[in-house]
Amino acid sequence: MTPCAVTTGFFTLGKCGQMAVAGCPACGRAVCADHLADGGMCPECAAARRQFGHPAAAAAARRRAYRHRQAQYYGDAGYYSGFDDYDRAAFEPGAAAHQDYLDDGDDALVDS
Amino acid sequence: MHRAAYLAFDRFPSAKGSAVHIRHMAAELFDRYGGGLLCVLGGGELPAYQREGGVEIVRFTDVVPNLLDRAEAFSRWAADRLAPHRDTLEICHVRDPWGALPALSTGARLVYEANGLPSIELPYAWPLAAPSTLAKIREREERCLQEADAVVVPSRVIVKAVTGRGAAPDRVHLVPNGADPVPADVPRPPTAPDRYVIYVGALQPWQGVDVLLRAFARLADRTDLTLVVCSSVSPARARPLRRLGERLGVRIQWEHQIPHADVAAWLAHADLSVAPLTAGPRNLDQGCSPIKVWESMAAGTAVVASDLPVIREVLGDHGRLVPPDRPAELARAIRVLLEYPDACRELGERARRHVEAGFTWKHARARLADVYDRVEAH
Amino acid sequence: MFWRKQKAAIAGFHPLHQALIFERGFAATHPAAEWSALAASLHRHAGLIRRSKWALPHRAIDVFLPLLAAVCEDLGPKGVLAVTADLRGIHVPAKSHPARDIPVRPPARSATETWSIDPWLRLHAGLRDGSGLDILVVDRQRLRRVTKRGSSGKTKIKRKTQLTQLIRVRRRLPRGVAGARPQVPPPAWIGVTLRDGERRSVLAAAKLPRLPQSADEQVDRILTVATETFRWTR
Repeated sequence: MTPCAVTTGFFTLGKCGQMAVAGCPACGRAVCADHLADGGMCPECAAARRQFGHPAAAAAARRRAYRHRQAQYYGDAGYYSGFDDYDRAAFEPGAAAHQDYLDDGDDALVDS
Repeated sequence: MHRAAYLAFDRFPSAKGSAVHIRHMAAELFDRYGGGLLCVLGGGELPAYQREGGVEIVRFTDVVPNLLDRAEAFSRWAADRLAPHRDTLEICHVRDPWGALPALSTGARLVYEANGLPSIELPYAWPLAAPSTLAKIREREERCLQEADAVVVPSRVIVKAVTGRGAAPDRVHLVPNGADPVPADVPRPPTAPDRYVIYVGALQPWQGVDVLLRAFARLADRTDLTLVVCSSVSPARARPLRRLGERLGVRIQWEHQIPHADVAAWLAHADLSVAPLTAGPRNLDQGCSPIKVWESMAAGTAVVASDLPVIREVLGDHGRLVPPDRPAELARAIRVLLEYPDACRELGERARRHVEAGFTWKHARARLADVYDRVEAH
Repeated sequence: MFWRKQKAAIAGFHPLHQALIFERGFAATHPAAEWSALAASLHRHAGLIRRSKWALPHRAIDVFLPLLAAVCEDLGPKGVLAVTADLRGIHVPAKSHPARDIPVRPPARSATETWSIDPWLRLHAGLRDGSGLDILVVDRQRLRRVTKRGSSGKTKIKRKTQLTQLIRVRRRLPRGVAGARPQVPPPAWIGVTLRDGERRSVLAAAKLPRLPQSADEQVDRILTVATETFRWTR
């Protein structure tokens, strides 16, 4: 089973986790039947295109707007984009493309 | 109290090209503003705090295993370092969104140097990163680029990626990388073989070193020829490529993490220098300004490189271009150039004159100074 | 019969919606699905009801609904939300304390002070992460009436009111979760205390010296205080 990867919640963020039935054509994440917004997109992509027909899309837009405002208010960079555990998991040391290296400090975000 | 700050989520100094870049860019900034604050990553033997004249170097030394957490922690740490200079800070020069966010909160002018974009480049090293995560990172890039007073890019290719993320086109300035001219009488490295072809740089998949190894397997009849790989990463990281080299039976001499000052000698005495970049989105959409090519040109060594827009921009007709990801074509180009040493030397000389005429680090610094002039006048 | 159609429309509304119309408040505990049914019913109100006597109390649509939507997002499938809303306004007699005399000096002849306390919204929610969230919003009004006699013998009565708002939020953390001080301190107008115990709780309280000027600002203030309690865990 592929779990639905749509972010839910307002204060506490988490994944929906129900069984996914489709993939969002815009961002590719798995979406369950309850979260299929207009055009088969995930709520966040629908909200980004100003299609608020689905309640989850409206909720995503509200959450985003609120967090954006709060981040400016607090000057707290981390609060803005709100990386969740799902985002972080891909950047654990074991998830790198080159498994067999000791940390030699080559951890730049980009290489010039 | 400092008037300028330079932030980079990168270890400095190190053997990588980015460290060379940081050194020259930061030097221009700090010469102009009479010193400043340099916030970089530490680790290894590097001291956490260092003062050199007017320049204060502070290094982030926390051990945070998760890259994303480390970047966020760096961001908060940098914000704390900048806070005492809030009132006097006039300009912040940053290289990534995690440096840009704390810099934006100080209210100083922001110069964003976009050598690469994490949302394009991170998936190569972190293949499990989800599209939604990259979208969040892209969102940050957009915010930082939109609010930057100037965006400095090393190549024309990346201009499109940067303006696509909301940077105003009139604020995007092209400052190509450069290389310092190499004196003609630089001594031969003691361990250098008689005749060798050289590759300098890191070993990420998009560098195309595997293509070079496969090409070299086709040159097995040239028993007098050795491939020298000056890797900027540790032997442990080079293991997969070393194994590939052994399987193909290629004669390779590995030189790991040699100091940047010694690289010029290796380049100057090589027959050829190769930059086999692959045709992936990292090189095609994001672009780069490969320092290995600049330095080879400055050393007067002929360059064989992949035919990509980013390379054509650097090399022009002062080198030999071959289709990317094609070992046979690369092998043929190397063979032909080795057959005609005079043409090869002439190509190298032309490249050297081209660099000396307009693309040394001195020129790059002058271009950067123009950008600062404009930001100040703005 | 007068207002036939509108009466029929009201009969079709959600029971809590009807309570808001006729009693200007309610107390109820429901899961998220039931609250979204109420929200849907409230959204139909403006299109169907025009009689001013049956208008919704102010704050029902523009303050209460957005808060409800935000908190319901976090309820999860099993969580319930308890709401006690009293939107009758602060000028209901039952909300005022008796007037009390305060000392005066000439030319004032006498002065009285009346405190009115209006706890108009109280929420309690069991969130899906195992924490319990309490939100309490109270308006407080101080009214002073001063009687003055001038030198010509003319008597004047002056009134002065001062309206403040208290927002208190408590988040009881799930068992075994430790609190942590956030990197960026809370804004000066919010006070936060971390209370130890078997289940720790984070309390955030704010006293606004004047009432928010718009519904958006009101919602924002309440959400900001509520969010503050979520910044104190990792």
